[in-house]
Amino acid sequence: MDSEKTLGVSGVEGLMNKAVAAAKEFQRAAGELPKVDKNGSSECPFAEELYAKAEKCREKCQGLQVQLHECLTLVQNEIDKCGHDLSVLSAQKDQLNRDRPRAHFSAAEARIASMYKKWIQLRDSLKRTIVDIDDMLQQTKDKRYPGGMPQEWPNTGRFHPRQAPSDSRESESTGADKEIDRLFDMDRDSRKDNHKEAQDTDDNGKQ
Amino acid sequence: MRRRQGAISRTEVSDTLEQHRDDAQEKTDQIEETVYDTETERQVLEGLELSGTAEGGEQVEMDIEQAQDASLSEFEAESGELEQIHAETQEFQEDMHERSDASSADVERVADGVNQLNRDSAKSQLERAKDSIQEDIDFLDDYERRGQEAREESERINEEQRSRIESARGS
Repeated sequence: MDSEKTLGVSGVEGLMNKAVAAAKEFQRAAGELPKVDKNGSSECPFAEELYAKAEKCREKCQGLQVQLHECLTLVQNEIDKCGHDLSVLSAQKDQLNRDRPRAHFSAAEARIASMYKKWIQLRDSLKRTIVDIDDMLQQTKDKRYPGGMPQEWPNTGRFHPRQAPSDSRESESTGADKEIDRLFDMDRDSRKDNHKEAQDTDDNGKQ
Repeated sequence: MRRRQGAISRTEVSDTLEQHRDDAQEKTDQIEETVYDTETERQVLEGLELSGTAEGGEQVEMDIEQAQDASLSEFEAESGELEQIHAETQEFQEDMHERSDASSADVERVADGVNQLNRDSAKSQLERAKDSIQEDIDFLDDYERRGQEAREESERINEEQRSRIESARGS
């Protein structure tokens, strides 16, 4: 997300839809991967190409997953703002002496309450999407081409000769991978807390 | 004793001014509530964090501004009613002033009469009448002054309230 000011419900929904579509594409690509041995040999002549395609899909998914996490923070900020504004408005509305200004306060209060509910629903939906994509990425974690990701020659659609296989998982991990793994770990650790927090907020929203 | 047309008793004078004061005070209290509303609206506007989204923030701000407009409209209506009360108090002052002037003329006529009389008993009666008229003049002048003070004080408070309204809307 570029900035908090540009955050909108439709923007968040758009990002979620994009991430879900990317996840489905990756799932489909991962499901079509042929078997390869640890040297990268396969009965399928397009094995390397299919793995390369799946890796691209995975990268796209991981990138969108990072954006979803950033978005979740911004959505939570919106929820906090709405909660604050709602309590300020409700408290001050009762202090007003005249009916006409109080009616406008009631309109503002209803508007904020509606936004509050919308953001909470969106946050819950966002969390579910993140968890679903996280699960899917975890399930397909081992579906990688032995010896690292195949490289495509620029503008040819053909692939670089495969590099020597390496047993070191560490060498396969890019900075982005590490960052995403860190986020996934963080998400898994906080899922329990998030679930409880969502329940608390729902309870507040209902009130 | 011949009574002047439209003569008014001291009790009526006192009650009339008291009524003006009560009416002005009641209206001032109403206006104070409206000023309080405007200040509350300002505080809310400053206290809101307002969503950064196009969906809600601006609309909520507009709702509060409309509440401010409604309070300003209430204030103007109530201030108009207060000005009407002030105008009535002004009329009361003018009435007191005219009556005082008329009585002063009476005092001069009585004084002339005293000078033309020869008998002391008659002079003494007229002197008493002159003193009585002078008491009336003092009473009328006093109530003209009280009316003016009450009106000016009420106007001053209303100006302060207007200033607070403008401050709450403008700052």
